[in-house]
Amino acid sequence: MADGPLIVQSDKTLLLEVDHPGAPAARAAIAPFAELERSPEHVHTYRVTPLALWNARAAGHDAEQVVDALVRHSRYAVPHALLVDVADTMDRYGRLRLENDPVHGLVLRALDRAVLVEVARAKKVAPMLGTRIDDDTIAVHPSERGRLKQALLKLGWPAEDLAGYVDGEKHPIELRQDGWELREYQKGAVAGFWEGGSGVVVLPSGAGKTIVGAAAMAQAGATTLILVTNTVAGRQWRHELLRRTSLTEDEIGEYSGERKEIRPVTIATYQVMTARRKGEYLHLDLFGARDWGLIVYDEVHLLPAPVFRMTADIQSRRRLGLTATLVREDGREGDVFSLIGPKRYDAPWREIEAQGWIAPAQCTEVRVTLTDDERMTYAVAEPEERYRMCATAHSKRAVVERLVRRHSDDRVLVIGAYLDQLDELGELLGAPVIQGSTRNRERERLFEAFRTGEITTLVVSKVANVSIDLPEAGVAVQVSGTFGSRQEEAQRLGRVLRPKADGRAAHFYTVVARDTLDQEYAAHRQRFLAEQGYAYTIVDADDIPDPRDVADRGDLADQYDVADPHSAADPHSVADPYSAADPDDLADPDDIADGAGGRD
Amino acid sequence: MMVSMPADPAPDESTTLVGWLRALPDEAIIRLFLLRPDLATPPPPDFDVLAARLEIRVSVARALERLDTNACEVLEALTILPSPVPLAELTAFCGHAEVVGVVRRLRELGLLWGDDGALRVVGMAVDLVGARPLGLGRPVRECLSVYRHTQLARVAGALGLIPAATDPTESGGGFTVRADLVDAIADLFADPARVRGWLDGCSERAHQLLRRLAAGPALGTTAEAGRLLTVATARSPVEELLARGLLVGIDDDTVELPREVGLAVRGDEPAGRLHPHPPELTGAAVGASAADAAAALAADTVVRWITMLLDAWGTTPVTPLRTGGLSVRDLRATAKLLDTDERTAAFVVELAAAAGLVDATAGVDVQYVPTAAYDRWGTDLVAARWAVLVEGWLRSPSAAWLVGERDERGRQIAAMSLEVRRSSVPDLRAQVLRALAAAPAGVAPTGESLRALLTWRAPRRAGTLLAGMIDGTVAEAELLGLTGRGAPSTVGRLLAAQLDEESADPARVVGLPSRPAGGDAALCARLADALTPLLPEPVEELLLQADLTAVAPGPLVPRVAAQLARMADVESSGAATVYRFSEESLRRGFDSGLVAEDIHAALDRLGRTGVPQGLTYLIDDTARRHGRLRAGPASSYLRCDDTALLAEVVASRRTQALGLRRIAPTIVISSLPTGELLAGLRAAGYAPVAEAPDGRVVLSRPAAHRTPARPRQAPVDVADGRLAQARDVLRLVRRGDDSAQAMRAAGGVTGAEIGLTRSAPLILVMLQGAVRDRRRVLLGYVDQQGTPSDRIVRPTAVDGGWLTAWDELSAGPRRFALHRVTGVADIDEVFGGGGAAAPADWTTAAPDAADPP
Repeated sequence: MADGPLIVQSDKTLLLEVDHPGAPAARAAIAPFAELERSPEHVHTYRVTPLALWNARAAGHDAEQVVDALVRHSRYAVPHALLVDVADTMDRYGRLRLENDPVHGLVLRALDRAVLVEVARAKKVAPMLGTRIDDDTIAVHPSERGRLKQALLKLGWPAEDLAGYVDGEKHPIELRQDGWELREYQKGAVAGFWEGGSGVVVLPSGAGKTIVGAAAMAQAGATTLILVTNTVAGRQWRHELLRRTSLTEDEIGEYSGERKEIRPVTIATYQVMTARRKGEYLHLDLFGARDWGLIVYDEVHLLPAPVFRMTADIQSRRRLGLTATLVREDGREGDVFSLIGPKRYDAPWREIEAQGWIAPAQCTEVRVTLTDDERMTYAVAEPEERYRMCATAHSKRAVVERLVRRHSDDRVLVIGAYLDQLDELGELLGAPVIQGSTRNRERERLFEAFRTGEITTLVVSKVANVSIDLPEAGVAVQVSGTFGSRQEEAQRLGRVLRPKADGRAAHFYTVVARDTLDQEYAAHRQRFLAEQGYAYTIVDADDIPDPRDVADRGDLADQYDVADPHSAADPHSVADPYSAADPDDLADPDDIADGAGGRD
Repeated sequence: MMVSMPADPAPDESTTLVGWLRALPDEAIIRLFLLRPDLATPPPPDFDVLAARLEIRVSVARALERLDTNACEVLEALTILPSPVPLAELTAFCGHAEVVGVVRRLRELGLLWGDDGALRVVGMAVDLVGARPLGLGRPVRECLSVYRHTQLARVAGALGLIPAATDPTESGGGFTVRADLVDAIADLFADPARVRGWLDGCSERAHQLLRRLAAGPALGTTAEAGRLLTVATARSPVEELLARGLLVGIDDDTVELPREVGLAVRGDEPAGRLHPHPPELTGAAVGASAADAAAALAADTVVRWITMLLDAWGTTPVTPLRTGGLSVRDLRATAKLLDTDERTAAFVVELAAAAGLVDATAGVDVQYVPTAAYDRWGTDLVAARWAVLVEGWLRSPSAAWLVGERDERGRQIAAMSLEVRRSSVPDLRAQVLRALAAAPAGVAPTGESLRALLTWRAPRRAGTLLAGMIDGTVAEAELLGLTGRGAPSTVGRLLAAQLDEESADPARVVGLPSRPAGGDAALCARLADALTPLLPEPVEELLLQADLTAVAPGPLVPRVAAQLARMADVESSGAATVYRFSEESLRRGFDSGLVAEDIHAALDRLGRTGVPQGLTYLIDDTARRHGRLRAGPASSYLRCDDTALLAEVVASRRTQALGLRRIAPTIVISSLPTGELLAGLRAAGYAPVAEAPDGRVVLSRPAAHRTPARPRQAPVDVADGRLAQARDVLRLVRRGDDSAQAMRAAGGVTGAEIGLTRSAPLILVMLQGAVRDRRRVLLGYVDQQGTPSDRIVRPTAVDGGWLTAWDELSAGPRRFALHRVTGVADIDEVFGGGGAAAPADWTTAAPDAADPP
């Protein structure tokens, strides 16, 4: 006790004082069972939730370890009630098990008979159970495996799924480690996943989740279905797989709105999976189209509800979830836990950054004072128009220009939500604009040019939010956007967080109009970023010097000489099969807000 | 005044209770009054009355409740032994255990009297101890009272009283009178050697049964109780013993082992196994330091709970139910507010009330609001605040664990209602706390062992409240930090030591701290001092972070906490506190009079790691916007497009009383209501028109409500006062007794005159004595019609306000209402023994309802 780095609060939050010498040890001890909620500069906040405790249980930690970690690192006495609660909660996991009985097939077996009786009486669970085999065992129809796990989790008795997996159709896949190799944490993630059978690997954007997926496929050596958020992301996957593995183009199929190829490795988008006609899902068959040995879910935190429902039916296949965060805006973390699987690996974002794999980021809020005319227009605007008014204020233009010029030696993304504004900025900066209606071929060309350094500035709409890989972007300037969404912030930041070859810092600017809604939303952003531990400063637009007045900042050209393996040009990109405009992308919900004003 | 105890003309003072009392030194009597205050209220006029009071059932029962198991056992042993008995004989009976201390204690309490050579138990105590002391049965004479003549004859035959040749059931063996037969059998049993001889003849299985019954209780339940066979035909041990007369079937399915047999079986240990020492408390070892750490955390938490609760109630007072108490909905809301369960929430509410920090407002619209004392309390250090809570709790009659339970009528008991208050709670709570503190250091006693200890300490105390009391008090002690993880903490021990000290001092009400009306400041100070070193060192620094939170890495100094509470919201509390700064919280600070510079200065001073830029910006931004819009009170306004006219109105001497203020060229406000403003303007010669009240500024009521605490009743039981009181009573008794004796000496009462004792307590005592000694008395009685009569009766029971007696006039049993008995005289002592004997077994027959209630 006496002087530990940890303070255990009665509301089950854990405060970790990061400057304390014992902090790293304490962090390592509590990470398995507590979710990192906030990580600002001095005190990090973890929260002990039932799901986190069960994740820890699934990873083989027991209550004694948890209690010991809390007591050992705590500065003050730990509330006894909390310790009791922790032990009780952890004890609930695994009292029920789903097993494969040689005679009866899938069964629910209880280590605690009373629990079995309790759940068997629950209204939600009873219909899923079959005949009672003996006092401790009840038969379960294989099709109910997923839904039963969901229902049991809701009752607070999460079942341990030991029923095993089908091997699926064999298909040898090898990692081609020529000139690169798996990083330690990537190896750890694959091992953690494989040992657990199914589950989620949590890695920050830019930490190489795709490679973890590829390594898991190599481990499985079986046909694989990969579910991704959109076609562009699918294409990134395809590139990576071709580059990193022994897979050839013929072995990788695309299953999208446009193409319906089913190959040993098939990449499908969430959109096509959730497409419906007359209330019926059209492409459910995909899950049964082949004897898949592995199903990979990219960006699990965005997994749409219908895919959850489909996933419930394929519980005998191995499932790997990849995500940057387990926090879902819709609060369906429990479904991820019961349907995809428990968390199998988690590396704290900041820790990976410290290891040098992602660039340190400087977040800056630039405040622009509106002109009197603009203020008056804003003041009298209709409520639904107000955000648009301040976000697209003309006063921002000069600042954006100055910022871009200031970083003329880096590659800059200008991100916005309103098409008029983007077009204007594109014109002002002489930079191409990518938006929802930009055809895929054009997008690819522009991205490629950006990668190679042909173009140093790109103006993008929200299409850039997810899964496009622009690793060399060192600066992002956000002029407008939807607000309050933690997802969006994480994604945008992710754009500029890819490792920089020279280790230079990334910059994330947000231009806001002072004393308007824009600033209010910026406050949310500030909170989120500060909670993530990023340095966040506020400057006045007038304080940003015009680089034209500043003397030459030295020769920075050599920084581009070192080839980064992640950013090397892809020979396949030109002859890309995804050349036609993708109907999926037109339907991308992310783009709907484009030009349509802010949503509340 | 005729004194009838005894009516012997030459009384031997030392052999009567009155005489013994009269001879006691003053100190002993004063101590008796202190130990049993009911004896001294109202002051008894003389020693006869005092002696009579020592026999009052309620009073004796109350005294017995305070005896521990050891004392009870010794008292029971005394009821078995013939009276009077020398101390040596008692010691021998109790297996040579140390009984001197217990005897002294019993004598102090007035349950036992006489010197060590001749100890006597007060008659009522014998009755209350019951017919089966120390697990032994009743004497055989009483056991046999249910047997019919034929059954008695069969037993007599088996015991060899009637020659085996005659059929005992036929002739009655020559005993024609049933009582003679019983007497003869009882005589046989009076010789222990003979009883032992009978035992030797029993089978082994019968021996086992005998040993079991002899160990107590002496009653056994069996289906064979009514089967009185001969030894030869007996098949089971019960039948055998019944046949031998060593066991008596007292009803259809109960057998009793007569006392004589029990004693014979017990042999050298006639008293059986006694319990001279309290049982040890056992339980899990948690370690003394862990207990203290947990206790400190609990103390801190309970103070925080009270603060949260009363801050909330201060802002939004709670309306009680019409029947009194807190509604279930409010209790739930409280539980939610405190982030705990309803049981704990009820405890916190009751605790706040007990400490005088919350009370109902006076008047019609009753509401629960914090008292003025709460503001004072809030400025103290945590330890001092906690001590006030503990002190209040200790003497509170509130049984918080009853909240949510159903009362006798099935209604839920509400917190803060009268149903939660039970007068016996403080005493019981003190007992439980003292028992808890008897645990060895660092050991959390189990509920079982705690219960065992409490039972040993007061085996005769019972009541439904007690069971809940133990669990409830243990839980509350844990919440208050008097125990930590179940083991008594340093502060818990301190409190228990205080209670021990008080219970040893008879001048104080047992179990209640003697406490002046305003709370026991000395106890509070000692408790606070003991807790302070256990609490974590208060901190005076913050970690300010860019996400606009401030973490106080430990308990904050109250002054800093109060300062911070003005400008930030608490987001998470516990050992540390997380504050969040937001526009609203800062605005609140500015509203309360802070300026940006104050906040910057405070944060600069407190922030260990500097103030993040984002926070500085937030403060300045909020400050810049704060107060740009101005609002103020105005009761009415005056507007006019003609600015010149308005200027004229404001300047006019005739409108000076209207409280006009010009806030814009075309607007003037007034502090007067519209009606008065209009009247004033009209009087000044203007012609204003009233406008609809839209836009009128409404004055807001102040947010916090307070009520002065109503003076609560505090027992004025200061030790000195009680001692002096007892002394006064004694002086009264002595004076009254002297004059009574003088009168008697002067009156020269002759033995022939039958004087009825007319003093109510004495009547009762005499009747009870007559029941015990089977004496006949002359009863003065007024029947339902109001006709007085004198009757000679043989009392058999005094119970529930009724005397049951054999009435010689009507030669039958009859019940007399005690309140109609006008007087009693001991007739046997006047006329000598004799008199027609009532049938020995009439008591079993239902008495005629001669005088129905």
